[in-house]
Amino acid sequence: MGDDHVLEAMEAMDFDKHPSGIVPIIQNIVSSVNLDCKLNLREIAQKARNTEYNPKRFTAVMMRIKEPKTTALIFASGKIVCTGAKTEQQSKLAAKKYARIIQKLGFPAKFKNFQIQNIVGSCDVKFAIRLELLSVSTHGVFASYEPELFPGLIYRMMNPKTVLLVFASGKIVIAGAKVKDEVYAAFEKFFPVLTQYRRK
Amino acid sequence: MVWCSNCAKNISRPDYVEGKICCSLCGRVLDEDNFSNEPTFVKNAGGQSQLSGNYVKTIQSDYSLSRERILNEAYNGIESLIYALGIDGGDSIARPALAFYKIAVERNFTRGRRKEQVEASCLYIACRENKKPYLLIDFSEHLRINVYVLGAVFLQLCKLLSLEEHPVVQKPVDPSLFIHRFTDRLFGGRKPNVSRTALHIVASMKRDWMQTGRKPSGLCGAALYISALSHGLKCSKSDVIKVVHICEATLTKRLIEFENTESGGLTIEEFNLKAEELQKEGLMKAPCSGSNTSETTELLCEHKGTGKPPFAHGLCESCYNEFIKLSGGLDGGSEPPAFQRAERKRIMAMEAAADNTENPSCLTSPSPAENKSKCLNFNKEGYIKHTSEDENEQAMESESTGASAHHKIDDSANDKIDGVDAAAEESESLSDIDDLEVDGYLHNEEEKHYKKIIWEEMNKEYLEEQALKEAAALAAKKAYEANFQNCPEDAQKLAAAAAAAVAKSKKERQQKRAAELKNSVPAQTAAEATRQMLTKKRLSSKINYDVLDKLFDESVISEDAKKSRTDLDSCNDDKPVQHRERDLEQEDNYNEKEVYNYYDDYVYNVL
Repeated sequence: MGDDHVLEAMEAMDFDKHPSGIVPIIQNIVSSVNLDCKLNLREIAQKARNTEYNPKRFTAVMMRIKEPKTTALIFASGKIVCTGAKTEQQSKLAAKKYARIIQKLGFPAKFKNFQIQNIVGSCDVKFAIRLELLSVSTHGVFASYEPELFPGLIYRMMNPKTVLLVFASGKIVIAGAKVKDEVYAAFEKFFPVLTQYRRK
Repeated sequence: MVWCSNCAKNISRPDYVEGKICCSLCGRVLDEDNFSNEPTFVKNAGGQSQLSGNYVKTIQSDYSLSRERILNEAYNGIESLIYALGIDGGDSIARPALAFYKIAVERNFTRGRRKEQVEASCLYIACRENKKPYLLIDFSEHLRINVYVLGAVFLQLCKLLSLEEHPVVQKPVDPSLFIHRFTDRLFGGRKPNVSRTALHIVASMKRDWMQTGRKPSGLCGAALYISALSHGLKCSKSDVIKVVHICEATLTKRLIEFENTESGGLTIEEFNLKAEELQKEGLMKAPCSGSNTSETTELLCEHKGTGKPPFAHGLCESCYNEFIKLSGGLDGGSEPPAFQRAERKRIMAMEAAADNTENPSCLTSPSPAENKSKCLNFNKEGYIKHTSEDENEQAMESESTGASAHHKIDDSANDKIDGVDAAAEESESLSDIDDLEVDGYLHNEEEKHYKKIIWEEMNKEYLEEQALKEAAALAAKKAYEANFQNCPEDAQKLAAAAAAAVAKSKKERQQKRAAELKNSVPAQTAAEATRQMLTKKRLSSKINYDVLDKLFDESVISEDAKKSRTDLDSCNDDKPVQHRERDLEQEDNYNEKEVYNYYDDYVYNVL
């Protein structure tokens, strides 16, 4: 984690790309890949380390690897869902490792259709936000704020199609993006809106 | 009470005789109705059986009997909720709630959901509309379900009724509404002083940004507690907790937060004075709209289109004042507590960073990584797995810091390479993964053996269920086969094929369909699209596809043809169509419009 920060500091603050001066940090990437062969989950659960298989609860094997620190859901149809990586490359590397493990267990696994399904990022704008005003104002059509149920305001942006969770403390969570740049773009689009409702 | 015209007065207790209503004084038959649930038949003059009497339509509405029942039960449920929670307003709340419920039923929202939850959600929307001070948590307490479960149903209902952008749901709940109700519950009667002070406290909390993101009940509880104690009324924390539905930890937290605000340091008299001053000020104060009016000159609040001038932030004056009242405005006060906590953490982190003496080495390590990534980039054109593997190994050997740098190189290299991969191969090779590491993730023989035993032990029930299922399936199959042993061979083959088709599980069929949908290319022409639709829907096996292509050669479709929508399986039309086609070609007298009508009849028959 620390290395990522160092890398980012090394990239000069690109004010063309991040006019707000804040770069959201990517927290999680969910990806999927098709091994294109039927798997015997019982065998996998018994032969591989770090696996959990509880068929009564969920019909997939949960496998974990230490580097990159990720978790995978392996289904009998041969599809794998890989979560927990912090960058796209790590996610692909992890997915490849899982596929290799399955290969070594004796299944003819391939690596088809690797696709990133979801990228989650978070950041801090460092000023307080009046969520009540945001929910009734011009942007209220996209916003859903129910303090009885959730302390944050849920803002659904159409383009790029993402969901932003806005909290009164100024912390923002951006989810639903398929590409890292979408996360940045969504945040940059939203930042000027936020400044309107900041505490003066 | 029936009116008898003979006696010229109302008869309180008429006689009911054989389906006739008779006056008990004079015996005159006033009304004759014989309702029965069973149809009875009588022989008429011709000797044929005929239904005696006729069907009577239900008097009420065009709802079916079961729908009536559902709505009645729902009304009873809503009324019982109103009674249990003590919501005043009676019918004026129940009727709108029932109206929402009716829509929900029609849109199949009640299917798969507990009807009490749907009733409660409908009632909650009605309450919110009428500004009744009831929270979701009150309903969930009565129904004994998790408030988030009920909240989910409520949100889904709002989506269904398209109320998401409606101000009723948009505007968050105002904590001030609840003060009176909670005061009543706490002290068993109205205490105007306590309520007033509590309202002032809540307003002050709003100004100090304690309210944003919090449940309104927590703020109310804290305000009431302070207000009650300051007026000398005996009131313990546990009393407040029971009334307001929060836990003690939350109450304590809110009290501490309030203490930390400016107003927290004042005495009660000072506080009241300040509150009254602020109220007067607030009415005269102009909003600091500065930059906002220049941007949003359009009115976007609920009064859109009424011609009121926009005051600030796209709201008209009344909406803006409402907002100020609701939330305490944008300026002033203290930062929200969550923000304060974040600030504190940031300050601590900065101090910690300043204390540590940073190693200059960690700043130099990225630079060798950068050099290596440049070398790798040159190779990206002719991506050969071996070279990248070699370079990775080299990198691993020559790096100074640990595995993290190795992956940094991987990342930066793969960054450019991945794009080429996806284009080149559909299924990628995995030979760039370190075998040693992967082997470490597999069990050896002994471990496998033990794990097998352990897993089977843990999942015993599941295995038993599976065994039972298989045994049942096998038995069924055997019984099925036994039936057909005596039949001739052909029939047996047929039976086997049929069994295979049935055995092919629904899931597989669904998956196949989904795959087909995904892979299907969108049709290029109208004719293709129709053909695809016909094969997909399998409407009729007697479709003439040649005519189908000809159909779309003409560009105009007349609208008269739309009237003639007949049955799908009118395959009789096919034969006459073919004959008539030939006739048309021979005779040129037919004008084009008739031809079009004709083809369109055909199309609509098939569709």
